[in-house]
Amino acid sequence: MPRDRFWVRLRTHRSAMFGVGVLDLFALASLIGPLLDHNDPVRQDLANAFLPPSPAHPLGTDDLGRDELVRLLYGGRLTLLVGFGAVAIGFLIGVPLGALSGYLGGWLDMLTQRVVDVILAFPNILLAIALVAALGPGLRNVIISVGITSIPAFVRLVRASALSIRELPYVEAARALGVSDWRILLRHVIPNSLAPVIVQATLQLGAAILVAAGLGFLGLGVQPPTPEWGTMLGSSRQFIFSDSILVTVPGLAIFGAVLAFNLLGDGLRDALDPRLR
Amino acid sequence: MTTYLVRRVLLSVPTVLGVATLIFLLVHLLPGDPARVIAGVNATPADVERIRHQLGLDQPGWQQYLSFLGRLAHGDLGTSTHTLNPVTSEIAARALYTAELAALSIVIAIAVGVAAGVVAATRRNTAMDLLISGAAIAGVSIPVYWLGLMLVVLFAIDLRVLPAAGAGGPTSIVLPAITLAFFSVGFIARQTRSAMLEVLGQDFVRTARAKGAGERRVLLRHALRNALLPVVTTIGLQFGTLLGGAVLTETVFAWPGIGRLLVDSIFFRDFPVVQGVVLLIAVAFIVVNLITDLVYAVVDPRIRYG
Repeated sequence: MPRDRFWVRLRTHRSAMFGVGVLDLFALASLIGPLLDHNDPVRQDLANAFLPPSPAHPLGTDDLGRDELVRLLYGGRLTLLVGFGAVAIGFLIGVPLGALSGYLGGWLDMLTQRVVDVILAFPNILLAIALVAALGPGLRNVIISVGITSIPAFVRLVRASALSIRELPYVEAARALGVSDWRILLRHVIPNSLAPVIVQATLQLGAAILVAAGLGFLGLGVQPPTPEWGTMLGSSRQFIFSDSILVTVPGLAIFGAVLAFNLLGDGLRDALDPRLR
Repeated sequence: MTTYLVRRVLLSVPTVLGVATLIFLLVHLLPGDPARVIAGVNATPADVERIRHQLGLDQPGWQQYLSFLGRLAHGDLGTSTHTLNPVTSEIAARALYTAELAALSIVIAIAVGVAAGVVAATRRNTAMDLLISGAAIAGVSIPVYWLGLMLVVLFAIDLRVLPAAGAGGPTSIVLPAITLAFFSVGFIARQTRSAMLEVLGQDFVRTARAKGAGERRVLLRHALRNALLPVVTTIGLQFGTLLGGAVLTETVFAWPGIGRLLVDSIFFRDFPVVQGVVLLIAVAFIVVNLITDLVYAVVDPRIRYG
């Protein structure tokens, strides 16, 4: 498909562009926001706990007197980091594994598919909970756990593409010319199976953020006082009766980020294959 | 047909075995020494050693693995290190709550999701479609734990019409069930919409209209019946997400199901219970997918597996 037509379709896709706008806003806010404000996101100031929103603290302060907006902005960095980190793990392991599995077939394919079956037998969040319970909480382990849960989707997708690509005449031609399997994989199989993978990666970003924040909410994720959105939501739950803004705001941020990635993912899919719209 | 059914059932046996193996490996990576935790802070090293021996934790890993599988085959999931009750009775006491919650949510999800998807597809690109499609994507994007808390703020704190937590009266299941159903409603609505759009463009629908069949009959008898096949698969696949969501929903609403039991047990380092609950949820998901495949094969006469 001509590349420019893809970009035109994506740029005229209103909901996808809305998603991009929200993501730009989030990225900008979490990059620049913390620089503009000198409030420390973890320093406690108990005399000023539970302050209502005011010009000095636009979203008020939390139970330990920390500025809620500043914590939200720092949390945005972590959320994007966890999302991209986890999906990078899924992509970097899942894509080569899927390509090898589909292109080479045989016992490797059998083994990979059985392992993928087993991993897919666990609901995402459940596997992430089990992994984090085993590895221990913390930022690095959350990224690893959520990353592992995102591998199977990439494996399945790339394997399916590799299965059909390896039968195509140009691959046969390359093989007849004596091109090595590695080169065929790197030059033909993987590049030609990337289109659906990009859609998948975008949707996975949303899913990864949702699961990682879920771990934080349960108290199994990034640990306090680090301002992660899910952890903030979980630790302010007890104040729901007295100060519900503390539970409203971090959840709204998670919702916004996930929605934006899902809208963008849908838009990418429509732009890549307009028939499915 | 029978061959297919038998083969499909047999194929899920290695998956269940793989699931059990993975869970065993995970649990044995858990940090912390369960023997020390059970013995308490004042225990002597001899006490800890005795408990370790009782639990079989002093045996080599492969031996523990084999006896784990052996006991599993007899339906024995071990003993809770927190309450000292058999894990099976710990789970049995809670499983009905989760089953009740999941069943009610899936009923809501199918009813609302399929109806919304059909309406959106038949009014494609109208304001109604935009509204439903927008709500559906919001449904699959909203964090279930946050949605639960927001419903508590609205219905339990501000309006005071429904209980905020627990499993007391008959109304206490309302908020958890709605919360848990949300994702599935969105997911099923999206899939139903695209399946309907696919079917509505096909020749047999045009033929039905040309014969003079009423619009209602065309939609329900001709289009929806064919569109439902992929939707059945969808419902089976997202059942896993529903079970995962139940863990979070039960935590939000203090609903006494196995999800909450799981989270509590992780904090108690009660690894036999963690193991048992994770295993039960994974096996439940495998069984539901199996049933989905079988239903699919029975419902769709075009499918004749060798």
